[in-house]
Amino acid sequence: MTPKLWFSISFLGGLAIMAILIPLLPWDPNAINPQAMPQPPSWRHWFGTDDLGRDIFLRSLYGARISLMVGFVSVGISLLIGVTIGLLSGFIGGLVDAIIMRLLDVLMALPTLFLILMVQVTLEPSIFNVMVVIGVTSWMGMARLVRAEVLSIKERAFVTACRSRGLPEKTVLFKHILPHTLNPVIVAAMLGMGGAILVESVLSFLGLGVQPPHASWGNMLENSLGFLRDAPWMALIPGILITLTVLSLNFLGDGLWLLLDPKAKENHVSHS
Amino acid sequence: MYMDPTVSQNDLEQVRKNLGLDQPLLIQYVLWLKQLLQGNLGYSYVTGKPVIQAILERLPATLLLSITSLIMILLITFPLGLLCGYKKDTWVDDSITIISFLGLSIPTFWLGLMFILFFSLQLDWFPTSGFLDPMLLDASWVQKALNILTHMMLPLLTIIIGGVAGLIRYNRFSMIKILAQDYIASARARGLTERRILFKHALKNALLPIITILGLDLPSLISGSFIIEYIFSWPGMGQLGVQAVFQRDYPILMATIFFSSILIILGNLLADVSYAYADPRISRPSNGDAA
Repeated sequence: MTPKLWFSISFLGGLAIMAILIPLLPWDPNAINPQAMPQPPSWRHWFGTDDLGRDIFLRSLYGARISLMVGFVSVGISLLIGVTIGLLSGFIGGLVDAIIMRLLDVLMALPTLFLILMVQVTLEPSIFNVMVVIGVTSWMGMARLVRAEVLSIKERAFVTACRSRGLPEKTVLFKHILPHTLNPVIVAAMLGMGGAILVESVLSFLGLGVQPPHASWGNMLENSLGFLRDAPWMALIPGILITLTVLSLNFLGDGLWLLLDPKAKENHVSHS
Repeated sequence: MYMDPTVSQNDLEQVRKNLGLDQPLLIQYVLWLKQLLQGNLGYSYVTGKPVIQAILERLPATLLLSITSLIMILLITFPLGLLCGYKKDTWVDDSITIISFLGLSIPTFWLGLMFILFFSLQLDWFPTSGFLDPMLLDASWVQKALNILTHMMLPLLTIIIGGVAGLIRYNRFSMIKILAQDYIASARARGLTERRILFKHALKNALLPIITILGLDLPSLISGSFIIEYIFSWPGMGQLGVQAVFQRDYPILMATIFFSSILIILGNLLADVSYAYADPRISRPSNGDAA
């Protein structure tokens, strides 16, 4: 365990626990307080208040709920699609594999962010749509990763052994090959969660994600735009939280990669 | 689209028909494709101007920003990544690695806001947004160029910080792999100076993977710079596209996606070609046993 891993686990763990427990407390994140319109951080309001006198610390925690949920659900969707397609493409091979790979090339050349923006404009912006759209547009890298793993795994002796024991193809693929692809997938999922949280913040910042008055880090930033000069903490705090969360996920992905992959330790190099 | 409540139902139907919005989505798409093949990208719903004209007006600013940032990113990452790889596991490597992780994790649009907050509002060093002061339209080209440059500094800085981070990691990785190769050991055994080993033997080989990664990174670089354009009101394709999103101006939006995909594919093609140029084995696969 490195200091980086300790930092990530304690930050993410603390944030997640607070985000899960916060609705149990009686405070309302949307409560307007005309006597506390923008106030700098103080003992009473740890992160200060915003233009409507709402407590930023409380809103940040509700924002954390959104960000963490978006991270989990959209990566879940992208895992489901990416792993399935990668497994099948690598396992079947031949023409099917070739067609899928060319399709992936096409999809990867699209500027994803614009695609997401376009879908969000066409559908109505809601947190559910955000998660689905991010998941559905971000599985391509995962599919490639899994396919590459399957290609090398299926040549190994234990797969031949499974086949010679007469196991059906389905069992070979899902019971024996799939578990071997999981390590890189876990790492990619960590990095993907960071990416999804960033995309959600952009969407909400543009007003196409979580809708006010519900708090998300992105729409808190959007809200801060008119007060950059007078209340800079309104812009500083959500940004720092996004950065720390994504940083922790990246550290975690990198650290897990070192822990899970013996070859990585041997070279003592880390990927990006 | 937002509309005037006084518009009659008949006129509304007529406008729908004229814009082709009464057709099913799939038919609309096929019609768009057909028009595209004939070189017609349609007309903006908002201004009524040809889409191609709107795009071409915005292309120079986008190209100026993205090409400058791409060159700067290469110039910065290459030496830093190599330094990291060479000084593996020292404090130099560790600090650059942590900084590059930080760069990967910062939302670039927020970084842009912070730069506006600090450099424009607090220090007043650079203008907050825009491209060229309207006052300078008749000024000499030197003044204009300088003015554009000061407007470009903050968006450029933001894009560079976002783009540099990932590439440094790859650079470091490829340098470490190369320095572990036998021919580097044999160069050391022949008593060559470290400088000669680094610059004559390792450098060119480290360049190869970077070209590919840069090609792969292009989509995110371009998408990222679009948001930056929007933040800094830089009159490029990105700003046009984000505005089109808000105005539901689908022809403009489709064209923006189309053109940025073309930019990405061109970038990848360029990466492939320069890869073949830098590595002679690729163009001669027949005698290449080490592919």
